[in-house]
Amino acid sequence: MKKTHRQETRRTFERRLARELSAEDLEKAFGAGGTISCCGGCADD
Amino acid sequence: MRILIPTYVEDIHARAVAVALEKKGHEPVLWFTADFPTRQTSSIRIAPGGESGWRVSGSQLDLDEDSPFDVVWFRRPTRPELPDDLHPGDRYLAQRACDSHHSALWELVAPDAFWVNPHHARGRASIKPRQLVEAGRAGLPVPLTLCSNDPDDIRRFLTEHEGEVVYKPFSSAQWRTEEGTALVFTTSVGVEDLPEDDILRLSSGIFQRRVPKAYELRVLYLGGGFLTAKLRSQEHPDAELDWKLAFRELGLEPGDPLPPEVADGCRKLMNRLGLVFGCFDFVVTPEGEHVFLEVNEMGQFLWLEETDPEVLTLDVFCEFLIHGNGFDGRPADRPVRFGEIREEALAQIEEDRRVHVARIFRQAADDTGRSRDGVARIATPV
Repeated sequence: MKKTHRQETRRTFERRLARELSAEDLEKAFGAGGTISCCGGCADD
Repeated sequence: MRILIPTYVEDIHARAVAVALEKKGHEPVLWFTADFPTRQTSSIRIAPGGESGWRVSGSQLDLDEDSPFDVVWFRRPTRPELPDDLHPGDRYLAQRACDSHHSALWELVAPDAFWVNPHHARGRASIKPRQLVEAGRAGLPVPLTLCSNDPDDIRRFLTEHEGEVVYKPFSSAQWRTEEGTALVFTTSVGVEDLPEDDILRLSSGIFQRRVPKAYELRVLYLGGGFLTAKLRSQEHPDAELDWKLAFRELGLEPGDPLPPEVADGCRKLMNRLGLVFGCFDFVVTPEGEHVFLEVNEMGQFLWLEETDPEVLTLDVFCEFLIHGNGFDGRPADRPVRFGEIREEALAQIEEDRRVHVARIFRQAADDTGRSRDGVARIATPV
């Protein structure tokens, strides 16, 4: 389905402020995956 | 002492504390709550007159109402984990039933034990606006704050404090993406950053006037005692607004004792929130004012000791569990150091993974459109 302008802009303000991190960035930044992290791990449920 | 620790298999904090407690001659019992219902069964019996009993058994655990516990460290109990092959039409209600059963268990387990933290208080204590209000009432300085989805109020706040406003989400905000993860950190925002009003009002956020920082503090509150770590966040360009952005490179060291009025404010706040443990975040301004940001009622602390081994978080936390309220914040004469037991704790986690249900990281916020159970099928890029 072709991306429309309306779909492209219908993201919350919060989402627009989010920083994109690759899996490697995440591991480097937070040690996700069972090691020590500052907040208990991202991808929390 | 006998200490019950509801948590998840990969929890290095729970395992490290358990190893340390054993070395101190105490008996920790780890309860991996995701094992229910596939590897654990549980029953609650109620008789006329209100007499009750409970039992949980399976996967190396056998507990009932006669199992005595002195302490319950309500660490991070995860939700019961249902199997993948359960019919999707049944999943929601089965999950809800299992969640309700666990909620009932927490009402019955070890009612006379020292709970860290009392489970009734946790939810309300974690509401950020409430924390800020109560912190102010307890005498702690707090940032000027607007929590809002009202476009007019937001624009007015950003205009009045032009160039000095940061945005924070109400809770951890993250999305799974095709490339990895998107996360919201504390971010500088101005009027020019705002979207259209109909978008802005869709998600309430926290806007705060920025507080000048000399450095920051992570403070463990332990039943009235404190352990303080100084975070040199302003020495790293990526960490100035949010030190989590340079977490692995953050300079830190043992902090000075809190000024008496700040310690007193923390105690008053924790009493008002009904908590006995928490990880405080403070900004210390160039003038030396300690400004309260938030308190995480079950925050992580081993990363402090892993970064600076002189910040003895593991031993001090164990001593707190042992001594309870009125703890003075001091480590034992011969402290157990995290670096000395780290490998043993990690090896035990590997053993546990063979027996217990792993924690499933399930993000409701998912840009890939591949969320399970029809949860949060947010707009995809196609």
